[in-house]
Amino acid sequence: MLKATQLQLSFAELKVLDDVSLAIPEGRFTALIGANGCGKTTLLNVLARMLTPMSGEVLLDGKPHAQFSRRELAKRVALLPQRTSSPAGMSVRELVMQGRYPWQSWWQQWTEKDQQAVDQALVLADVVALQDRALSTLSGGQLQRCWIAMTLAQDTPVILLDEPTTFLDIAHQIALLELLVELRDQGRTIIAVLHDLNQAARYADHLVMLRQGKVHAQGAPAQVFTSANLKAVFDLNAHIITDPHSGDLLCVPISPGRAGAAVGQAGL
Amino acid sequence: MSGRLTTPRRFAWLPWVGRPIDLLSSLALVLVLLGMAAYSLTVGSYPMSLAQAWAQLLGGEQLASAQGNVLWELRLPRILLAILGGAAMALAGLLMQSLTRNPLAAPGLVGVEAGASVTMLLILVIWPSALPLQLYPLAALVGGLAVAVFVVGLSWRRGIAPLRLILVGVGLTAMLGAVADLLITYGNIDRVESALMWLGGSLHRGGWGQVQSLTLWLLIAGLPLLFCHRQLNLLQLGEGVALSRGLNVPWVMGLLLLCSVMLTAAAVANVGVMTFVGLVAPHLARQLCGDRHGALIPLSALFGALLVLLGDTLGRALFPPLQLPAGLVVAIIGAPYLLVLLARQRNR
Repeated sequence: MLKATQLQLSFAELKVLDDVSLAIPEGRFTALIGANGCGKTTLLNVLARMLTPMSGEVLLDGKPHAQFSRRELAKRVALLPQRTSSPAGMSVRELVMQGRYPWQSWWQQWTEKDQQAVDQALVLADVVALQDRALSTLSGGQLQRCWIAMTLAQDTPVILLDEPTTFLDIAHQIALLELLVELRDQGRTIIAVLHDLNQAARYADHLVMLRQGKVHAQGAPAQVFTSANLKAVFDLNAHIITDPHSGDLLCVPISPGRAGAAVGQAGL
Repeated sequence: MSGRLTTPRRFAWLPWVGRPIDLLSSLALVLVLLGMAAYSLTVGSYPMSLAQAWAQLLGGEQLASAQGNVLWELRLPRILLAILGGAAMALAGLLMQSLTRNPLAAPGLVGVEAGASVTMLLILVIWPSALPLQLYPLAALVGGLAVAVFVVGLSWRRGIAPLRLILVGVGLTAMLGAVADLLITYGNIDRVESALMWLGGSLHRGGWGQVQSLTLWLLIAGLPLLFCHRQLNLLQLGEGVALSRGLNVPWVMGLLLLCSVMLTAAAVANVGVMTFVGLVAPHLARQLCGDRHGALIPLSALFGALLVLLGDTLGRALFPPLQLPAGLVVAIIGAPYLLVLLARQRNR
């Protein structure tokens, strides 16, 4: 459904995306990972048509992005950017209500369906208790969950999230990832930039590894989540082990001094 | 009870979803404005009671008396001009604050006021015979628009970058301010005096022609704003968010900026420079309704109208027969409020 072919994008002299081609599997959870400044956010923004590539194109349902009007696109693809601005004098519910914008028109501003979508989004993002609070009174993590609710209220088949777990404590990070999996099970396509490699490997169905504006590897975690790829993409020395409880892959960074000590103790 | 008033709901007969309390405060403000206007009718060197003014208004223009003349030709157009000018300036300021997401933005930000002022100074000081009196507002409008277009053009970079807009606007305003000072310092003293009176934001020459012109501009650039509250609400969440919710950001921002510039230019051309109204009125409105533009737009316009009407009425009532320019009175009331606002922001 979402497909990119030979994307090229530069900011001034800097090549940010260099011949990026990928097919996002429909109804799956895709995680974009890579080192800082490798072009993850830019790629996400191009997929959401926040940025126009200099060459190459993005196809949505087989149709070039540019052929959709902004509104039609917004009914299909929602993006939660990394940077948002939260006006102080507005309640949580009112923020979430704004996710319904593409479904409204001058003459039809609020329908039963809008109401249901907002109520449902508030429940899914676990912010029902906060709904009447002013945005200025919330903590960073609470605010992030409200923004996620707003993105869910848009009710799109494709959801793009740029580092959605930022500001969240570990319990809420896991809750959010479980929520994304639940949305995937409903048939939605999820694409998220994730920082935590273990979370990406555990929850995503499809990993896209970016290195200096190019796709270094893409595929199921079992295929691409390898120490060789982590070394190439992050310049990180790590073991990949299997979690004995869940069978998930985990990456364990190797720090030379301590590894030696551990081996030494084990030898005793 | 208060929960029911502050929960947003849909009004079947109004094109927006909003809080009942905002509707109530708008109605209350309309009443205050009407009361203020009624009081203002009775203020001035010609004595007139409210009952007499009322009789004149109901009697229509047939009653050709000195009293009728004062009411119909002097006070009524002046009051209307204050209301319209204040509303236009407040709306322009609100747009500028929302578009730049900067609470301290004023309608003069893109140089409209400075452009209009310099144009008027050039005409009044250097070459007073160049234009008939009726065309002065038009000249100010053209001057203001020209500078605004220049500033927006300089700061345009694949859409409007708010910070660049502010910086370019500040720079150009400073330059135009210097030109204005030069003209004031070295110009013919009598001509400078009449120009300064105009620049102070005085309504004393207000007539029906100006009322008509300002009404027209408000109909073109002000009234449609009442229907743009969803777009403005979305814009203040950040451009990325607005864009991915289906809003054509560069286009909408450009259009709203144009509205702001037209309103400012029309207000400056007809009632003179009143920066503080545009800065302060939206903040007064925000105290009541937060950042909800559905209420913020009408409330700002009402507060703007009220401020200028108050300024003009006080200016006429305080030291008769001396008439203080409304713009100065508003600035004297508005400046302390701005200081309080700044102090409160620092504490946050």
